[in-house]
Amino acid sequence: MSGTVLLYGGTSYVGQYLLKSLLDSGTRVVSVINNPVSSKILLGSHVGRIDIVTQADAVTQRDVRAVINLAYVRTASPNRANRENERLMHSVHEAATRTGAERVIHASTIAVFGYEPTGRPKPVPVPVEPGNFYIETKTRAEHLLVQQAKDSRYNLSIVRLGNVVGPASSAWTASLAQRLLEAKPMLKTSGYSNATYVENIGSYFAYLSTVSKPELDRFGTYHHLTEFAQHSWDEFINVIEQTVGLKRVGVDGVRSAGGARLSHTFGAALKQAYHGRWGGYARTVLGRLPMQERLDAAFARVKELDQPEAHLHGSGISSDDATVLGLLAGRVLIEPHTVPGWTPPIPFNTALERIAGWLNASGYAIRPAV
Amino acid sequence: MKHYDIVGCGSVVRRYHAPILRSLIRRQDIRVHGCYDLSEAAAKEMGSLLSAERTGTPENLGDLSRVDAVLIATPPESHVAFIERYLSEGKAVLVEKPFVGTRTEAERVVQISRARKTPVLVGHFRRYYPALNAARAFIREGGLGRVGRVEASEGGRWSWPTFSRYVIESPLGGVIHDTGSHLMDMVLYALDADSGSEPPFEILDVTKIPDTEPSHDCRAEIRLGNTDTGVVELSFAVSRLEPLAGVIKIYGDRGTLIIPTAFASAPLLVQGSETFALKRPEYAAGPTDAIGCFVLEHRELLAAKPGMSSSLSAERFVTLTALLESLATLASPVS
Repeated sequence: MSGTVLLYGGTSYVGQYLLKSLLDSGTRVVSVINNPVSSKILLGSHVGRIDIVTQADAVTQRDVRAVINLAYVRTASPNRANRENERLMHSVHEAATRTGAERVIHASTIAVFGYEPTGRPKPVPVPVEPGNFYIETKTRAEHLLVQQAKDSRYNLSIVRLGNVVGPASSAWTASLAQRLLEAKPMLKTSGYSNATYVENIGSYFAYLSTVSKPELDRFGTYHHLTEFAQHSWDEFINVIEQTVGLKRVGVDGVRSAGGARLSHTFGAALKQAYHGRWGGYARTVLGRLPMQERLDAAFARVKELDQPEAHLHGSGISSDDATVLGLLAGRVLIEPHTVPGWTPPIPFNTALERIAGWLNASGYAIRPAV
Repeated sequence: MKHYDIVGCGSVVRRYHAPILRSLIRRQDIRVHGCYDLSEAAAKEMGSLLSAERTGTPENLGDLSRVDAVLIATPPESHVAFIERYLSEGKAVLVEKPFVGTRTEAERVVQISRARKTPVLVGHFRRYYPALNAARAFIREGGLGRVGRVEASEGGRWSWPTFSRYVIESPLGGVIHDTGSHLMDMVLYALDADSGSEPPFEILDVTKIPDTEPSHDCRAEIRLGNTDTGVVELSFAVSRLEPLAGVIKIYGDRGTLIIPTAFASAPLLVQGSETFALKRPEYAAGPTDAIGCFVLEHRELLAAKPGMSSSLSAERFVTLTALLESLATLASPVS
């Protein structure tokens, strides 16, 4: 396939599968990096087969047929999150316009509908709901890209990924198996998984980079990649249980959250104010102020207000546990919405076999005793 | 009130130690004398956070007469020099893991520590995990019978937001000395194989990516012990490239112990088709998370006195250092 793909977020988990799909199809890949340390570690095995550049060199590339963005803001301090998000999305837009790419393909998430969505999620714009940092950041990114694409010549595809399962998927495969090893609570659940398989994601993005532009224009901006959505979490977890050799434990008898309390100070109030809906508004306002370094320093101090001794007493279900349990309940189905003509190359049963194979090879399985 | 120096003001100090140090300062248990880092800005920032009397680069530690103890959290190749500097003036030391780079250095530090009657503690905070201690006690008491095999693994796709190049350039910056030092220490501690005059191990096979240090993925087959003490076959895997099960599985002839590498209150014991959470009342009142383990680490430093014995004492990490040194030195494949 002629033409170059400019790839943001090539060091991500999905990125390695997309790289494979693109390289297998003979595409030249230019990976745009932000952190040279991460890229040296995670792209080391691809050296010689892809080009690795910074943003300054990305915009000078020729014959670019697509810009694909898998990157998102993860670690900025709260006051910087919106600015960092704007900077990243602007970089993607700038690369597309300056190289003359005819399409931008952006990885978003079904989490823009919330972790426990209601109604019937549709492939349409979603309003920004301040609150959860990840959801808010991903939704804002969608809005920024749509705004930028309005007066541009390129086609914008926003692919909302389902819950990504697959070998080495830390969120939806490795962590579920690890929960068994740690005897952390997990439900018996027939909830919709709303899942997508990682190799299928690589295939879909590669397909979008080659399908005709008029076809993309006709399809619309929003895609939902959830090809295994109807399968329940139990179907995955049963395979994980069989492979690991341990049964999940329920939540009965687990006490509700304890954990550290904050000092009653202005700083503690500020820290709490950054959570939830009002936290979202606070981030927006503070992100516009000029004194970002001072805000960073203030946050460093706020972080020190936890009472260390509180970590020596109490126990219970953590907020992380609660989030996972809520997600596994999966009451709402998010149906796939993908470009006609693309078929997922990996069917469900093959996906399960590969997941089981990876769990076996990666230390999760308990073998017979000596 | 004790006076501390902080040498190295990077992210591990910012994230984990600083909150505890601030609480000790509030309670007037300690005062921070100096904060030092190669980056003067980082030293200054930490100095301001901890109300330090002086800040600067580590070449200018100055007069240590008013210092009682030091926390060393610099890149590992510089540990030995700073440990020896503070030890030579009789100051108690808490050094972040990995301890030092070679067995020779480890033995020298232990020797000086004994001669000066000054404690050196190594920050292997996982030794406070209740699950690890419960497993160790159970094995010691013979609950697992004869232990023949151990499988230990831990990994995750690299996501630490550092721009420091030491993890991709320093021979001690690879996954073996990073995650590997924690994992291997948990294995040795659980098996009660962390001390002894002659480190008893043999590396049978090792595969690394890349095959020189710093490596980011390492798989090894190791024989621990000898015919006198009993032999345990250890499969060891650590990675920055992909997730691996965070677990130590200890196979005995009476069952299998499952110890998570993340904080857990109890290990699992698998016997036939039955699984039990191995809860031990003596460890039930321990820390509730990893931060609690850092708190205990600082309590030990605060209570440091000549001749003290601690699970974090330097002499408990000579075998570990020798093993990590061998893994790092060997190019793959061994066999």
